[in-house]
Amino acid sequence: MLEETTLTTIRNLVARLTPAERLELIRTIVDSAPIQSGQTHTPTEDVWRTQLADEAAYWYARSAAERVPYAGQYVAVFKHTVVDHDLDRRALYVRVRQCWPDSPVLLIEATTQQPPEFTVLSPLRERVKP
Amino acid sequence: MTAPYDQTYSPPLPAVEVMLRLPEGDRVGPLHAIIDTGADATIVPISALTRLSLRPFQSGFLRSAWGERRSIDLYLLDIQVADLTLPGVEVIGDEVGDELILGRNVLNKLILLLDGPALITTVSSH
Repeated sequence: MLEETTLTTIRNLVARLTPAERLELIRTIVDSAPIQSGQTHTPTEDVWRTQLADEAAYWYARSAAERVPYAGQYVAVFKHTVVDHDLDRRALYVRVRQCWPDSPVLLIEATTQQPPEFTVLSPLRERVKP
Repeated sequence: MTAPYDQTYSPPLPAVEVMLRLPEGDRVGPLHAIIDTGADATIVPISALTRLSLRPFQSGFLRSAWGERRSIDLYLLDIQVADLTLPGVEVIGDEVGDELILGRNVLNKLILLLDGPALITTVSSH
């Protein structure tokens, strides 16, 4: 995790930026992230992921005021536009897949301001040698 | 439902059989799933997700016990464990491993009895 002093410095720097500049900054950070070894994607999958990352960067850059109408809900973001929203993510997912079956539509909790992070505490398990 | 511990691991691991389903009805399984209370999320091999033609809806990060972080994709599906179907479960697609891991986002919806001495897992929903 980032130290609080680092976060404070970043917040002070970001406070001076316009929403467009914040979006550009997030894109720059996303683009500079190293590709993990072992992950091989087809060009189609890469395009899908890139577009999802772009939609996510757009949503993370939204102000609190823009999120308020969707508080407690999930939003579907496509081409930098909220195309649908619902309290029930599965219901939203089903509608989105029906309307845009082959397009990368971001589904995200409206209040989310950064990518989710999960933890797996268990070390790698080893099978018994035959 | 009861299931024997997986003794291909040492020490043996609690495990159950699950079905993965799309909201549209397609399904894959039964699949062997490891019970891991140390995992925040459920992790599914990408091969199983590909068989369902699933596409990710969001990305995120996965951190290990030692702090390493890797980028991951999130998928949405229904998971059936015993006679209980959990709708709209967020799962991580695993592009490297071949283990299906049931994390706490699923386990916390179940009543689990891990009978270690008997090497038996019992799952119930109520």
